[in-house]
Amino acid sequence: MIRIPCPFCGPRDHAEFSYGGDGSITYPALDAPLEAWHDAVFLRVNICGRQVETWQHVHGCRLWLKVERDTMSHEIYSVTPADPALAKVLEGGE
Amino acid sequence: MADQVTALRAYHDLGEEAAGSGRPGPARVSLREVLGFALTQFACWPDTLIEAGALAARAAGCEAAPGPGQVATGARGRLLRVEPLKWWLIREAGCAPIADMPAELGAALELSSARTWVRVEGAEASRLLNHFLPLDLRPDAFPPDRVASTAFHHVGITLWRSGGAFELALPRSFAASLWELLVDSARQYGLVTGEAAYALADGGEK
Ligand SMILES: [Zn+2]
Repeated sequence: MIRIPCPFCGPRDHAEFSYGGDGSITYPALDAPLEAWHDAVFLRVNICGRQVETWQHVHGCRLWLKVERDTMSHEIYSVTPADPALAKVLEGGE
Repeated sequence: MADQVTALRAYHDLGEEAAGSGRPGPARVSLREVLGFALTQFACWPDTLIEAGALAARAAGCEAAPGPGQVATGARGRLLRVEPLKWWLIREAGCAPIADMPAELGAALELSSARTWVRVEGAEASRLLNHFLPLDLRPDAFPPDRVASTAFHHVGITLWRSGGAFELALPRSFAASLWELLVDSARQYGLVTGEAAYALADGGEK
């Protein structure tokens, strides 16, 4: 059981979220060679420890989030909206 | 305005007391479909939040638009901040439509028939809901005028507390199924079912 502190909704059960995969990948340019796309999509490191992931609060506020989580302990270190414009909106309080 | 489409009409023929079985003594849960409301969604952009919020607040007759997870009640309606860039405005059915918003500011969308409104009340209301909802519904954590969206049997719903009741906005196409789950589970506490007419005062301070 993981509880994720959503920046809009507060701490919520992970059943409300859907997992969006590795949040640390930098995808190649659209016209990059096939090999570059192959590597970005299929050659993933299976991190043991702290990693950045994307999650969507799909049954809550629907924000896409960047979540820093320990894959061993499930400890969560940080959660921020994936969209910097929305991060600013929430920081402003209004 | 067209008649609101509801998913629960067939259930109202059961009558007020029909479901009040399964447990001796008074019913400790009541489930009512609230009818006669209009729901309008205000959506905006990150840089128009303040302007769009002010417009929504004016439509509701509130002093200011509510912040995240909050409900504000005004002279003309109730405003719920449901998402970072969205408010829901609940008003009486048949009220004047919202004037078109300039596209640069946001969009107002009529959603009245998208949701079925179920009011859950009674001594065991929060216990019943916690059979299904992963939320802390104790009064300190979820006081009146707090709104949240969550998952109910894998379906996204929105609920808020108004005085002594929990108000559930269920997606219409799932409402009958979720209503059956609530009724089946509430039998252990004793329940009554029925309808209620929307009134702005219901959701106000009690
Ligand atoms: Zn959220």
